[in-house]
Amino acid sequence: MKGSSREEMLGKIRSAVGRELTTAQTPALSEDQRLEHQADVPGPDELVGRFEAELTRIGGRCYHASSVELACGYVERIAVERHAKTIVGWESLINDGFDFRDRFERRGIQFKTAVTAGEVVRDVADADVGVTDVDYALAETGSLVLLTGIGRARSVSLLPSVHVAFVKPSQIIPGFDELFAALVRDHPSDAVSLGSAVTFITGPSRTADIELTLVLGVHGPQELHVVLLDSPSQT
Amino acid sequence: MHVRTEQFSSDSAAAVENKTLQTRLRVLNSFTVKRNHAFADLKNGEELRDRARKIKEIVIDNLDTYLVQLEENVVRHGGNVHWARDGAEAVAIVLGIALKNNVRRVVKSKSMVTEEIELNEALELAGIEAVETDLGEYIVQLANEKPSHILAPAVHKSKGDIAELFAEKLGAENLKEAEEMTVVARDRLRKKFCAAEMGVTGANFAIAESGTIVLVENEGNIRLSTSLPRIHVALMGIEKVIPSVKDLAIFLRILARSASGQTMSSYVSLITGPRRNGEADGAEEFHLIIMDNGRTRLLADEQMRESLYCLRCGACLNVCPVYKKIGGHAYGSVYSGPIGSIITPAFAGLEQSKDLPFASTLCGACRDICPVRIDIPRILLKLRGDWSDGKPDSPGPPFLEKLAIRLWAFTMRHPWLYNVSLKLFSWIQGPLLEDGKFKRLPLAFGGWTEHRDFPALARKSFRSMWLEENERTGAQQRGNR
Repeated sequence: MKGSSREEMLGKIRSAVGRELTTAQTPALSEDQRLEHQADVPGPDELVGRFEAELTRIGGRCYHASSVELACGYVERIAVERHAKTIVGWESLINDGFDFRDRFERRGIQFKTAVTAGEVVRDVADADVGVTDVDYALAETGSLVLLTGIGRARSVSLLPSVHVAFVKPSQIIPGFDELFAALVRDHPSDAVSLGSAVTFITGPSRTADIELTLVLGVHGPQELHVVLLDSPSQT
Repeated sequence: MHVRTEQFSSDSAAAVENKTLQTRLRVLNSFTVKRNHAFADLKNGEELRDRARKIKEIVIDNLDTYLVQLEENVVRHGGNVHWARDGAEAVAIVLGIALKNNVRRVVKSKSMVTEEIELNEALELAGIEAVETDLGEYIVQLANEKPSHILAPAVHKSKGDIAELFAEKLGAENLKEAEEMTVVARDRLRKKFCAAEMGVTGANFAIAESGTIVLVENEGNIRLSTSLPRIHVALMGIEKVIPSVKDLAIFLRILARSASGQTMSSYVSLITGPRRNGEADGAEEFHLIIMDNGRTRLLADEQMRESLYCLRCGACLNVCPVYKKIGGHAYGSVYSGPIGSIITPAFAGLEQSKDLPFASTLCGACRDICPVRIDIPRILLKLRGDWSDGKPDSPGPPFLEKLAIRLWAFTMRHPWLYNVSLKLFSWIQGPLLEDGKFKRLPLAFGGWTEHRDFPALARKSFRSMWLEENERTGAQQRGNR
């Protein structure tokens, strides 16, 4: 049954464009049909500045941390200001030396990293703040690019109403074209390996569905904070 | 696809009289203003549009190859691919997946395709709760209405309307501001996301080389629908496929700008199959349904083929003087505005939707703003011609109209006859004029004079004045020699 719908549809498509029932080669789009250099993409020295400007323009907040200590301090401040009770974060942050657990415990805030499959709702939904790092950041649009993986749950940057993302300046790349080239280069095990999900985050969640009035934090986070780890030891 | 396009004449007249709707529709201009700013910011916006169109041309001309490649790669990453010849088959596939997995609750994101096949109604009939999670769609669903705009489904509703609706349907009283209402919706829908067994989405793009579907949004409801429920079902029309991830560099840049004037939407999700081993969230089962439902008809007609390039951005709706006057509901079709006027006849039949191609001033604003440069006015004219010629399924205009047009065409092809008729008419028109104008024309022409006057024929035609003038200057020149 399924086979025949497929054959019928492909048959209709082929006869619609007037071709025999053979599998044509995928036409390779010649290089000039792909956009090479995007004229208004920033140059290498302007990356951080442009990223910060775009991020701020779309409602995100940027904090420069010149040490791990200061970065953690920023997250602590955010949590305390918002009377947070629970914070959830990606495991990789702990591995990178961020000592969240002790710091938050002193404040009576629970910090967890374990997000068990099937228990996402229990583990993440009640968290007030979600902390992640990123894979890339785009200067062109102020976007964060997050690849999903083990210990890198999608919900952490989605369910809590505050999302804090740690970005190393070396992760900031000019724009889309560089991003897709990087994805192929950095993950060569597949021709194009995108994992189960790649998420582009550009500012907080928003809607204008009610009388075109802008409201932030509809389903996703209401606040997006980026901590730029400026310290030389971070790069 | 169920349409009410035969009611277009009365529905659009009612829409024009509807003062609330008229006020609401005025806000659409802001979309276009923002869109223009956003494109002006791009140094090579026109080049991007040309490239986008070129890619779409190549894909649509080789659709079978790309769809097969897409299927291979989705399956390679652990997903399932289904092919649906029409809406009924697509619905059956979704129901099959739902029933097989004991799905009781579905969360849905905004998808034109699912509206087209009336999926929600089918799920409800099967005893499955289907909740729209995009705020505008949620509002429209609560109100038991259809969306009136691709991007802003509830644009026809005022804050007061929505407050009343929330009080009535959600028991949330005394809400005044948009923020308050949004918080209520967020809470209610959060519970739905956490409880649903299945998430249903559309797909903005489907990347053939990687088996990836691309979903663009601002709210986060798509991310939630594809991260929490165990099963993810994505529906797409056959035309949504693009060759490569790199093409997103072009499409993502122009989509948000054309749709809402944003540089980028808040969230873009690239989803390739189900979650991998060891991952904590994301669907465990991924299903992609590739649907025809009349699109091969558009594909087969070389003159209609470019309508398949549409990105569903809504820009043509926002600039159309007709859409801005009557709103989306009057079109009586899932697809409204200029793009709706050219594709609805393929889905619902030309006879059924014959008013749509005629409801246009042919101003060309839609063609100018379309990110992939679809020549909508050309297609509108073609459809008008098709209808007048009595094809494919329509009898065409009534006999008297056909006769009148034939007489007119004959007259126009014989200039002596045309001139004699004009002269004759300019003699006898006197008694028919009021204040030197036609204030009332008979028969079908009365529609014109209902709201405006028609000028009288001039005493002397331009042609006779021209001839006289030429004679006079010719005589002068001869006299001067």
